[in-house]
Amino acid sequence: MGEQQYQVEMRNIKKSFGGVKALDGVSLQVKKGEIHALMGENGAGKSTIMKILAGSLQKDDGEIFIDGKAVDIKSPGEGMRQGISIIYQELMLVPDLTVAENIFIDSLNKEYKVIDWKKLKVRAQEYLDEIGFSHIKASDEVSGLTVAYQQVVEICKALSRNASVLILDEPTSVLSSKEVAYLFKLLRNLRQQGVAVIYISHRLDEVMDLCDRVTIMRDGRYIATVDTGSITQKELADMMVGRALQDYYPERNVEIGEVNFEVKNICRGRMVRDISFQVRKGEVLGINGLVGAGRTEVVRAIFGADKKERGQIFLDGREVTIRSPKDAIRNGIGLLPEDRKTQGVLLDLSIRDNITLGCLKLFVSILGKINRKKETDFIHDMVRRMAIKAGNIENNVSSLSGGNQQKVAIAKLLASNCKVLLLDEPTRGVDVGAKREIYKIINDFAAQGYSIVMISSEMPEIIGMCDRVLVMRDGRAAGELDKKECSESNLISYSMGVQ
Amino acid sequence: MEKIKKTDLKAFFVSNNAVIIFILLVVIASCMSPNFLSSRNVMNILRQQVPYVLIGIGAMLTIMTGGIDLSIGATLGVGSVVIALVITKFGIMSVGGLFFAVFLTALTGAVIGLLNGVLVAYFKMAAFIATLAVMTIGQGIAYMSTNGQPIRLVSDESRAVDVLVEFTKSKDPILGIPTVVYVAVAVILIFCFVIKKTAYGRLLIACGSNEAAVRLSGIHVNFYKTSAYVICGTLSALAGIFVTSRASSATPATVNGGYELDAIAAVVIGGANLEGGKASVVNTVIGILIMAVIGNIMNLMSIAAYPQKVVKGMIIIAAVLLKGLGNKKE
Repeated sequence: MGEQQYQVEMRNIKKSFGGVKALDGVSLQVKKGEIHALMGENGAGKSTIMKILAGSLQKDDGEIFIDGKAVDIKSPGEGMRQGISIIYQELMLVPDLTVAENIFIDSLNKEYKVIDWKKLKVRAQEYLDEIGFSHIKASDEVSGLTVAYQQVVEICKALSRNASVLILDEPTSVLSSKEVAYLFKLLRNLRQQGVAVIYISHRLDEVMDLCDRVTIMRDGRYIATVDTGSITQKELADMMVGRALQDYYPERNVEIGEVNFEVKNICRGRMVRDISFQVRKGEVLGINGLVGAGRTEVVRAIFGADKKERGQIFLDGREVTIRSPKDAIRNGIGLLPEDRKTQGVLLDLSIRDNITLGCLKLFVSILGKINRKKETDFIHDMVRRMAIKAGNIENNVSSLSGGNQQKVAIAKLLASNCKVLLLDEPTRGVDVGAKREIYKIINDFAAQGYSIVMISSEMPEIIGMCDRVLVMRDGRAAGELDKKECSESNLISYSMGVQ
Repeated sequence: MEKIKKTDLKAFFVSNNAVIIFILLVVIASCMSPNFLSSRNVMNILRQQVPYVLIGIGAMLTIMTGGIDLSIGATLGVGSVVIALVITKFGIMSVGGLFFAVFLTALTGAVIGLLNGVLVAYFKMAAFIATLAVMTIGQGIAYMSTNGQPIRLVSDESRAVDVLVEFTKSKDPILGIPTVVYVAVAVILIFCFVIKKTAYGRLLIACGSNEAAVRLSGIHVNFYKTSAYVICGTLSALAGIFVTSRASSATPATVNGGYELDAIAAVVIGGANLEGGKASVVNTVIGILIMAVIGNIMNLMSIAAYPQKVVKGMIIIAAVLLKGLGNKKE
């Protein structure tokens, strides 16, 4: 076997979903014993091509070679037999079973008529010890482990199947930096043992640190494969976006007007304690703080999605009563929820059904009949304004990429004609290009005199987008910073309580 | 090119599997019994299906919201008893009085539906449990209000009874189609329009598809969910009127007729997802006709009632399996 013997070779893979080309002739070559990064914006097709490799999606066209042999992987089971294991962002573990049971879950019914629990535990512990996590006990229940350790269990599960190819889909998005270090150590160990690791990530620094080579995809197309040693982070980022990443946060030219939205002494349990703030017309107020500081809870209480215990809400100086989301929207306050898939959009319904969900009144004629032509015109206009990339407005939202789904959610919010917008992590899970488009949309709103409250965990985004920032800690307002005071170090010190 | 054609064909079979099963059944049935396609037999089948059309659509609406209504059969039985009780107790003679009796029956169904809806939507009870409880209550009331005895509608005393009984027997003079079938067709058309064309229908589907997202879009989800149960209850009670008028009498035992399961089975055969979301009125009606044809051909072949049940159950399983096969291919 020469050096050019690839463990995985995918040639010219094509795949479409409902008329939208997700993959257009993508190729990928991964050597034995290398950690190979797969990078690209959301919607670039990284997850799609990995699902095809693992067998949970079927390619429309193209060839796959494993260890030099042409294979046709028709199911996840077949993928496993070819030695391919994939670890998804959402872990596939059974929380109520033990570590050992989870590791051997797919062989439980095959190998044993009566399960020898002792032997099972010993074998599971061997795997754990082998990769250097002997302090995880095979008899522990998975639900008691941290997410990082659960990931270790997933990796053991892959190893128990003798995986020669291990795919990780954004494994570090939920890990602390210490846990990331553990994971990297483990992956380097596996590299030593000759496993081909495919590593999907958005984080440039991680990829530069961990990976040997990187393949970049954009809009479902193959762009390049490069050695991480021969490229800088900036060059890598530019290749992903396809243009220089200057002016990342678009300029906003807005005359900030009167205060038109004010909340006073909002309280709800431990997560929301006496929060007050004002927002002016055309102003973007950021809410920052650590995860669990109560940011989402505040906007949900204001919006009426959760019941507030106390507090007042004023619009243009007049107090309004908000007991439900319906009240909020009637008063012109709209919420873009944090979790797009479960709260933002209706995945199983069409783009049409989603966008006009909240404003069907506009198109209703006699007997509640929807004037379809009027609705279609409205939707086409929205799709154009939001630059939603969709084959057809009758396609299900689930066929869109994350960024486009989010734009549909924003279009739905915009359609219900609100003047105060509560945006909860508007760019979460959205690729770089779509992020910038969403920033532009937010700026447009501000220019039209909307008042905007924007929650974000990303400090550069807060600094780049907000006129003022409310920092929360343990359900309380830890401080309010104006544009001049707003720096990463200030945000951190307020949100962590170190002055 | 070949490939595309093939997948199109497959998609056609999958999305129309109810229609295809129905056509196959009709072909098989007409081969097995020459009487099957006789106009007398066809009209008979259609006439018998009228109550099932009403409760099938009702069941479909509740299933679309992600719920289920087990009280359909009980409500139908209560409706059947209420119309007879109102006519006999109030001594209703006139046709105007008959309309009043029909109105009261519909109202009773609506109230039962409202109870279901409020328990499910506002008190967040599991639909299965809430409607099971309401079903039990409905059964009890039907027996209590009649002392467990059938109520006979005697025609020579009352013009209302004549009209009611005649209505189910009458047919249009040209085609010979029973008048009640036109009523069912009207109901089908109304709900096709409601589901496909109106904002109400769109929002009902949306509530079943992702309740949280719809609520956060400022839509009164509980209202839509409750309304589905109210409509279902009303339709079920109205279906009870057809049952009473056909038999010229009402018996409380109707509450145990298993109507709810036939209705739910029809919706499922029609391809609706029990988790809520999109469903089709036409496919639900085809689901009803599939069940009807199976029952009818077995009657024509003099198969006893109990084996009929076994076959019916197997057909339901087969229909759902076929649908699942289609989903897997997606």
